[in-house]
Amino acid sequence: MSLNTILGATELGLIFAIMSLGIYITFKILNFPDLTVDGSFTLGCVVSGIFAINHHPFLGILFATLAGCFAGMMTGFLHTKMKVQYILAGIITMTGLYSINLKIGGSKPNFSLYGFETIFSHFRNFLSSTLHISNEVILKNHKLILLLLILIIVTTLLYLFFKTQSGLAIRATGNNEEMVRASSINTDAMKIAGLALANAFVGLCASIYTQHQMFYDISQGIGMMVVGLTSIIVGESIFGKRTLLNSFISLSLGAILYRLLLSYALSLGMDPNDWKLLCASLVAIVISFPTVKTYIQKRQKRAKAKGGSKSC
Amino acid sequence: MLDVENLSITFHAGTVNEKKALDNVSLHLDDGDFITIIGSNGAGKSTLLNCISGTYENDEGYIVLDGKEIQFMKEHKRAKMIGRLFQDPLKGSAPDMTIEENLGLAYRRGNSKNNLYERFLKIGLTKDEKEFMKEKISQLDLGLEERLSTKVGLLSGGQRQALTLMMSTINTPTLLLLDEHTAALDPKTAKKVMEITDHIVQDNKITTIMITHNIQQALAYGNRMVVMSEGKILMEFNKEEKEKLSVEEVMKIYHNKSTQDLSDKMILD
Repeated sequence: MSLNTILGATELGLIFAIMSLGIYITFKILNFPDLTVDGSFTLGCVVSGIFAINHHPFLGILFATLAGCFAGMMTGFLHTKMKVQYILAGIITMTGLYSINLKIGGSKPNFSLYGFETIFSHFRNFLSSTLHISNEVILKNHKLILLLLILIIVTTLLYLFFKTQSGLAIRATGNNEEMVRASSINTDAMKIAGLALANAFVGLCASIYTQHQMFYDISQGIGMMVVGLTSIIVGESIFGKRTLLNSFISLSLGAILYRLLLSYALSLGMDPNDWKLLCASLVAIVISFPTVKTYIQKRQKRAKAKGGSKSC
Repeated sequence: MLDVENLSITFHAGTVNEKKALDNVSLHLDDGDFITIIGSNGAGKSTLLNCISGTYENDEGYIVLDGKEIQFMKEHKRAKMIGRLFQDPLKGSAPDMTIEENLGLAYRRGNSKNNLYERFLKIGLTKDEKEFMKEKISQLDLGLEERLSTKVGLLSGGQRQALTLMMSTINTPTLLLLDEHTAALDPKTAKKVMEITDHIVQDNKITTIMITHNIQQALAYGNRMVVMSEGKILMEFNKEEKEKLSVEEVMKIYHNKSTQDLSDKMILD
């Protein structure tokens, strides 16, 4: 792999780390496997792309984040107030979003941002003309720098949020709903807020992704939930999950590692179409690992006991 | 203080499983009353508590707490006035959060003096609040004050129940509901948690209803005792009557009740 490939993969990893943070909120903190992600990701992409085409890339980021937020609230509303099962609530929102995404995109399933200004080109101009930086290395890696800045800022904000009373209430809702209700907190509101926040992160990630790739496609969101899960699982099992901050850093590193592995596999000549199968298998194996382990241990114990009784 | 008037609730109405869990129950508590409720399984004790706290909405009758009609109020809104403990010691606290975070959540949210910023966005606890919590939790005498940043999931059942007790009384509630809160603990721990409960209730003069299957406990604590059976209040004893009662006599009430049921059934057959 060339240095350029590695840097490119790292950039994508930094972008997807933001999405993994969002999925961490639903999957780990709220204990709510949220399938809205596949829809809200594409929503973020198309909103950001349309704004960029209309020369407002920054507004695109803002509105894509808000759009993701609304998508999450929709799922939350369906689940808590309408009593739709959580998996189904996510699927319903995701399915509905497909049509909405097509509408927003002007009935076009894909378009290119080539030749339009993005947050990255603005940032490069800002570095060279406002800060008068002429260092080639910095200017060349302006995307990496901007992404790193964004990730550090959002991770810090999210970490601080989970230390506030509202954040604690959301964490407790995923942990022990009954206790939260007994502490006179509206658990429905906490779930909706958590889903809104999570999908806002997904929307933010998607909006940056589109402007980074200079391209939008209606199928960009497919399988994003599993991508996020893989990053979380890989990250936490390698880099630990002792505290919340530890988990946040782990899943960011996991997202980068995920992209590096993908690039590496592709450079070895793997068919890109096989990648999703590999990821899905990895997630299934890692999640079922503890069960399989106890099963094997039990078998061994039984075999031992049998052997022991024979020798008696 | 608390007025429960003609409370009725039927589960699975209109099906073969129809069960009238509460049948015209009326109960009055004065300020500072500590009532114990005994009765066999299915007598409606827990249903009564669940109706008062808002887990179930009663079909008929009304509940007045502190002059406010609360039977249509949502559960989490009632929780501002009502503290609750369940039999399962794991139900009352969040295992993945620390002792301090659990206590902080209970303390901040229930305290209506706090403004929006303090209730929603303020990060962590102030030094004064930390001291206050340390002092509160040291009353439990379990050594938890040194382990404020320990995750609650690592505590024993007894410790968790004591912590839950602290959480639900840290802002003195108008009413405290205890649903067999020592039943899942070993005898020694149960005794200790019960003593702490009595201590807290007496010190803060909290109006309390306690369900128990332990007749001795029901006789030893509180100033009134209620016996429930089949969704009705069978008997009530005031402080003097209760003091004269023995465990055997209470057992006899149970026994009489069950033989009476039997003879009723035989007549029907």
